[in-house]
Amino acid sequence: MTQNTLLEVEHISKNFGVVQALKDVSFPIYEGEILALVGENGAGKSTLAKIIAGVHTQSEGRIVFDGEALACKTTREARAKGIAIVLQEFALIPHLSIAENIFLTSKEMYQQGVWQNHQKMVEETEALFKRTMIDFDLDPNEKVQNLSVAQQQYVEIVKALSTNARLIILDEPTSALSQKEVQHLFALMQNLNANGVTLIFVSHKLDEIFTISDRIVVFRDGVFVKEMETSASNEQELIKAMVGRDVGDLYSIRHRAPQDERLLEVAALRNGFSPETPYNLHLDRGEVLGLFGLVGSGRTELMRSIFGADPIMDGSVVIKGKQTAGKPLKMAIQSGFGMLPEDRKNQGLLLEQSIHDNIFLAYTANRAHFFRNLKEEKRQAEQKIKELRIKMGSVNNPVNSLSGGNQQKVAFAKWLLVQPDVLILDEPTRGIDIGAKFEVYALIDQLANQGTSLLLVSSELPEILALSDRILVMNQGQVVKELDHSEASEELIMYYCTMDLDTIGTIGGTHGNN
Amino acid sequence: MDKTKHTRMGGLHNFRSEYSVEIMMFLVFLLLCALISVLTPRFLSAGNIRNLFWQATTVGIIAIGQTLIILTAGIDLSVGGIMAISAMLGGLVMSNTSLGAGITTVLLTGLGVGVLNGVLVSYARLAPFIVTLGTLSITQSLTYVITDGSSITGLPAGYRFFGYQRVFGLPLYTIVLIGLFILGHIMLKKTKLGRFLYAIGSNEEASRLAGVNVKFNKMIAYSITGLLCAIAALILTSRLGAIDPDTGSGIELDTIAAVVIGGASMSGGKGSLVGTLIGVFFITVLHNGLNLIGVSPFWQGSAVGAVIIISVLLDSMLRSR
Repeated sequence: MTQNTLLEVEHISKNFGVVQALKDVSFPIYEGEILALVGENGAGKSTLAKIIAGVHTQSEGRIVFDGEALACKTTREARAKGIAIVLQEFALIPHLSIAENIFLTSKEMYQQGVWQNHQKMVEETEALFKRTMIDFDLDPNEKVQNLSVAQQQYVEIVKALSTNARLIILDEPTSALSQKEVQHLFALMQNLNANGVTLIFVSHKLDEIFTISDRIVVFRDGVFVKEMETSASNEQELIKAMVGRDVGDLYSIRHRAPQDERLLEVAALRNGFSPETPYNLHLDRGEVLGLFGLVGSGRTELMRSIFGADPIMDGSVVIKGKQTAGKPLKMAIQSGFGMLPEDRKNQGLLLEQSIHDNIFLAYTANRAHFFRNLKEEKRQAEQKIKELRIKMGSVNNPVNSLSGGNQQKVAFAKWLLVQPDVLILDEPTRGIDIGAKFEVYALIDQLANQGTSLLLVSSELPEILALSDRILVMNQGQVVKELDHSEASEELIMYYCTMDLDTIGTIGGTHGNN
Repeated sequence: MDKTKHTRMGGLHNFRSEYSVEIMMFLVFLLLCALISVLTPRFLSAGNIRNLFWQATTVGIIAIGQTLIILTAGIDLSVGGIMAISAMLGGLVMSNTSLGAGITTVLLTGLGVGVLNGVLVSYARLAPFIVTLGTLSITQSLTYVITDGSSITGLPAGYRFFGYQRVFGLPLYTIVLIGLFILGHIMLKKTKLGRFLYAIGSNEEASRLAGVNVKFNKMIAYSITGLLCAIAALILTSRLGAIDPDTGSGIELDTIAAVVIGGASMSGGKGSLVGTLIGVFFITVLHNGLNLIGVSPFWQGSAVGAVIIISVLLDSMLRSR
């Protein structure tokens, strides 16, 4: 690797009001490397990335790019200098075509005044596609709204290439991608890198950081902590740098003994996602049943139809002897169900309402009398906040003032108050930092040991493997395999969730009621 | 000693943070009162203050319901129409049967139209703006149809009770207004229904997944508003001594303005009846003051409109800070 410095971060500080997001950060970025910016949520890694790309302006310090001090106030100025950023929220216009999006701000394509040079745009887009050396098989005339998340991300990266970016920043690019799409993205990143493009990869996913990066820069609480060569480092060392203490093995082996009492029995359940497949599954008291499948395999749909959040076609869901299929949600909850939905912001929390009101939402809806007992509520809320170690100022603050991890703990607290027998967890650790992940894992263990049964959906294989007593693998809407904790491995799960069902034949309904 | 002081300070602090928008609006309201009383000494006369409380009554009672609906991210444009049709139907029944039957009809009609709004919004999943625009048009038109466009006069003496009765030296309608605000405030802060209205406006799907019966609770908000419109219509026509088919026309603007000035968000989940009460008196004082100063009624609409826009602008500036 050549060690020419491409960009130098010099004493950068950034304040948002009274919050100091970055404190005197300095480090170099070398030409031609893939640099991972790593840290927990709120560590300052995204803020720094956005300062470099002109989204934010620093409060103090300077950025030197290619020997010249940068003062970009907008992403457009940064792009002109050769720095592009792909944010988590894409800046694409849904009802314009791919080519129109890529050349939206290009003067060259609008030479005849307002009229765009359509033919040239399409040709150039195709040329750019070729330069990436990845074949997504996209038509430049396709509207962006018809693309998947991964394809839109690809368009964003191609857009960065169109301005001849020398430095491309990817802000948490894998958070909405499936495993397969992540592999695609990494191949693309390596191709760009081979073409001399320097990449900054902002992430907190350890396995990805070790797969793709050359060098790692770690942040904690807005401060630069450490830089290390990826090849000379390991997960333990990185975690220690991120959280500032030894945390032991992230996925330590757990000891649990599910009891011999059937709590949940799902029989011949059919939903709109996969009308031909009847689902059968069961859950004992104190058991954690993991459900793994790629995005789009129907796992979230299955969870929602068991809970009763979406209408089902037919079948039965019996919890503790009570049939809840086709009944109102309130009845399912009062019979012992609870569900932490996948999308915390849109389905899980009342973002601008207080922490207190969020914690008490499910309790108020299912257990409370018409007049609420505010004193008793306050006492219970404080107890839960202490139990779950929710870090906050006051229970009257809105829940969106909390970090992702603490928001998720509020969502947990909401269900713990109604004491469900079967708790469905759909991606309970998505978008939360490592420290909070540990606490969620410990909580899942604790709940299971106390006799709660858990249905756990996760896209993170190590998580599923470490937490589950049994694992169901989903593929194209079907449960294709049931694995016991002792026989499951990453390779086996990946095999079943990616295999081509058409060539092997239908395996639906393999696991009976053992 | 130390401890009690601490909790009291804590309580005050909570009040300040929970009602920051309301406190600010109240200060602006006092400023408006001061300005008008400088311009015209008549503003602070006993007679005018009595007048203000009367003028605030109709708008105030209905604004309570409007607040509940706006909290759920809805809106009710039909309030004026509900007033007109419930008063008119009640008046017809009253002229032909008895006072009691008439009053019952007023209340049931208001409640009925409110339930209809609620069912269409909640269970048929139609946009509140469209539904209530439709029922506004229907109720106003039916009001003219049933009386052929004429007013009902010569109401029985007993009917005047609501507009003229005094209790402990205060007009009954003022006691009703304040009483309804207190009831509503307790309902919002201390009951399930109140929490659900905030929750629904904040995130309908999250509320549903937590087991809240979203449809039913939304319908209740529209039904309560219908009933409140009937109560307002009863008091208004009782005091005027006649039921005009034009009763309540244009009142949707003043009620929505009062709620918005009180700090509620049109996208739901934010607002309070403390704020709405301030908003009601703000609007009332504005109309009243402009009249006293001698500003042409033609200009008053502009003033109300400007106040709405400025208060929303202030709110968004405060929030983005």
